[in-house]
Amino acid sequence: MHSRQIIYLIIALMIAVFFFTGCRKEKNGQLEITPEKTDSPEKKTSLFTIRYRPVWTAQAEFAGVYIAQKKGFYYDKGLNVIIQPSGINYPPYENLQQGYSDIVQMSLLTALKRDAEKGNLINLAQITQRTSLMLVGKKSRGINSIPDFEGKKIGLWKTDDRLLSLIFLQQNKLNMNIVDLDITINLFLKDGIDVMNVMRYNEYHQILQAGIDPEELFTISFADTELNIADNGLYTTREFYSKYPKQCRDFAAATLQGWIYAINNQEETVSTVLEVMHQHHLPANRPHQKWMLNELCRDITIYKNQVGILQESDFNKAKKILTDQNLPATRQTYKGFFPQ
Amino acid sequence: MKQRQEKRGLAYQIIVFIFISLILVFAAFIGITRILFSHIMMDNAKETVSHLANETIYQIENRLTKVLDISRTILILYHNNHFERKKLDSLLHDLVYEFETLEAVTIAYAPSSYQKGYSRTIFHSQNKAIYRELQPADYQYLDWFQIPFELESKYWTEPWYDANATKETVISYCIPLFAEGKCIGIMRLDTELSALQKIVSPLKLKHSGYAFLVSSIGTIITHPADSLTFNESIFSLAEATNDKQLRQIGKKMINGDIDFVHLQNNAVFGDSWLYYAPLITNNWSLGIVIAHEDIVGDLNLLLIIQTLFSVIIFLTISLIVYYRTLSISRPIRLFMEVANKIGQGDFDAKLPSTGNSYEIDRLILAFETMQESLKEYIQNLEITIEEKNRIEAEVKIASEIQRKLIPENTLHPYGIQELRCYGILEPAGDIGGDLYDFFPVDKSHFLFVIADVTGKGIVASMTMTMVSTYLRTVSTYHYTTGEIMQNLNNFLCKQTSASNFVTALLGILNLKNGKLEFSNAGHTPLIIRNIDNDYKIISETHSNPLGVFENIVIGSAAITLEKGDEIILFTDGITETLNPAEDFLELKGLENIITELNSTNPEQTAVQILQKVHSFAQNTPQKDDITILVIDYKK
Repeated sequence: MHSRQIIYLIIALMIAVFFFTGCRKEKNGQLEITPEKTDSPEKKTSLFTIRYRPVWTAQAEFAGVYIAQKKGFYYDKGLNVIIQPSGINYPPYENLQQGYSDIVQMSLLTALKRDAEKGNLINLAQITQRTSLMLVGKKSRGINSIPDFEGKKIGLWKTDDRLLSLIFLQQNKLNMNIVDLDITINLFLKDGIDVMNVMRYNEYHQILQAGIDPEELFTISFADTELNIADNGLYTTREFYSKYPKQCRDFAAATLQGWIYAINNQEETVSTVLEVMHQHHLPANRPHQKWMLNELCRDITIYKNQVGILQESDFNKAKKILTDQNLPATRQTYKGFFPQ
Repeated sequence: MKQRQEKRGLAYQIIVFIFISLILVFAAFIGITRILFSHIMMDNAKETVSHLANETIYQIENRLTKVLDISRTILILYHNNHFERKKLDSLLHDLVYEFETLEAVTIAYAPSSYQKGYSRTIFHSQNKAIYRELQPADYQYLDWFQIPFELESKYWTEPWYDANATKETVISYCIPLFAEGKCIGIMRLDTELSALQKIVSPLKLKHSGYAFLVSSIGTIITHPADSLTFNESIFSLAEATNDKQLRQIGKKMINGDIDFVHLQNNAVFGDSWLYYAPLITNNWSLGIVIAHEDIVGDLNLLLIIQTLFSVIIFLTISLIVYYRTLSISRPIRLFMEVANKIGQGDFDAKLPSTGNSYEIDRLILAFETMQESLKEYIQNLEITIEEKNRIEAEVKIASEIQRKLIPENTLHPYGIQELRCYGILEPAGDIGGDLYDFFPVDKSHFLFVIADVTGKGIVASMTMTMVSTYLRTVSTYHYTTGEIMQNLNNFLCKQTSASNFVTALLGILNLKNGKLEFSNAGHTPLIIRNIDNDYKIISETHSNPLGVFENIVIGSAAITLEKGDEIILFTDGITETLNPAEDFLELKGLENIITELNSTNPEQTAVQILQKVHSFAQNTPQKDDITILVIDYKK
């Protein structure tokens, strides 16, 4: 009798241990944002789960999603959104095609280029309407104009985000030693490279936060050149979209609602972003996230009353940039690519 | 009446004076102390803080240079044994095990045409050697590999978390490996960051001082506020608080500068001082923050004590002064009361018996003397006044007697029908020096005289009395005016002092025939006014004033009066009457008055003349007696 009880107890303990460890594994890497609103339990049971993967680690670049999650905008649409782990090891396009994610975030140029492969990408919403990409060089390294780039070392991300920079070099007929970069700006700070590609909302400000003043830098902002095209967008596959068009549209609408809230409540949004970053043990400081959100807000609201709309001109321009460079490009039409 | 301003008391004035003086002295004293001591304290604080910083830097550098030293050994081992990987691994593990400062050693090769590249990390964990290999994709773009590889120089990394091997936050010393002059890979030596943090974190200074580490790009590596560590850089803090000074300080810190700066009301550090100095080995910077309050706290305490002492000294002095001045002002108040009593006539008011200072004693003496003098003076004054009153009374009596010597005005004096007389004597003082008289010498002769004794007062009055009496006596046996005057002159010369002489006009009128004999001894002219209101001035004199030269012969003149003629006699009090413009009336003025007369008897003539003289004078005070005598003949 006693031994049997002990066995039951052990089994129960094992189940409990298994349960807890299992839970932990599931949670691992996924973003936990507790919604402020909880509606009736009936609604909760009928929630539609969407797995969303950002293009980069948690930061204000995805503030709209965090806000939509926190404020229950997804929940209100009957969606259970899982914000998946992200970063250099989680390339969005591959994740999407391999079925690890339902909706991903990518730049327009990357999407159009990668869509040449399968032609099944659907743009659900165009978040940022212009590129934040810049090239920066230190004046102390002799970079005072574009011709000064010639023969110097340039650091470019090893991802598709380098495309626009490469096109720029080609257009300007610049021969530069390209150094592949991963995530940090330290090689640039330590003078391992002379020029580097940066996002105005992120790395550019990181450079300023490393004690380099704007006056000490030579910068080219692609937004001011003919290479200015829309950047971040929400993408899914045609297959997923055909199956769940309403949910896809609801996700996009709730995300944009999150962004509009973020634009109107920047301080609160920055606090939310910082909470998320701390959950992920990512180094974060408020001025940087504030800068980033401010930049993003400007990029999102370029066209009045057109938040989230992919402009046909942008679609065509991006496609032309690719084809002009003999790079693969989507064969889809604007309407097929952005079936609003 | 103008209100007299109430003055503050002596004690109040002295205390205020001392208070102001003390404030100035103590303010200067405290100010100078503050300036001098704040410099000294700042220097001391800087010295203390720099010692502490140098010691801390020394400890950190000690650890870092140990890593550098080991790196040389490892490099030699590597070059000697890199063909024998197992042996090298074993040697490296022994070193990692041996040196507490060394957390792990990594040798990483870049992919190249002749090898695909790999990295191998050797560390010791749970009592065994662990070797962890990674593919180039996993490390190629990490700072620890890429930066020294691109720079082809040694490099200290920023703190980073080695998730693949040791699972520790470390900083790494990375050395490029060369083969045939070409960089082929990186050797990395990790040392635990926490060991460095443990050196810096416990540093405490005074109440609130602390230390923090900043990396070569400004990232905060250690800070008492954990939330800042790795999240913030000195520049992000500057940006968050919009603090340009802090940004400049950050730039200097990562530039390897040394300084001791005052951060006034800084949003991050408060009102504090920051000392920063570089770590030479890896270009980090150590900052030590100490609250301004902590540095100057002792000085402020000293100043507070000084101020308290000042207040106590002031209060003590004030009390002493107050009681001391009270002991001075008390007798002074008493003096004041005594002075008031004396002012009200109480000369016997009692003075304080003794003061408590030399000056007060002198004052008491001076008051006593003054009291005595005043008493004596008042006594003398009383006697004098008594005397004066007595004299005044006597003068009044004399005046009465003198007045009685002058004949009374009656229409026909002594019942003489042939003439009428009227005289007026208006003395300038109680008793005068003028005289007129008339009386019959016999049945047919009538004598009249008008005289003026020079000078005034009692002497003149006595002289006049003598003249009057003597004339009455002498005229009984002398019948000519010259003789009478000569007699009178001789008498006066004998009786009076030289200073008193007499002018006189004496006439004897024959009542039967109107013949008038007269002698003028230095007197004003005689005026004869007839019935038609014409007049004649007879200025003839027969002698100097009487009483000057003895035994002189005095002549006389004679005229015959018509019926109705008026003899007008007067003294120089009339001609020397002053008006407000200080002009004399003079004889001419009198002539004008006489021309305008409309009198019909001597009284009217005399009164009208006097009225006109008064109206000329217009209340101007007169110095001389005024005398008029008018006689008319058989009108």
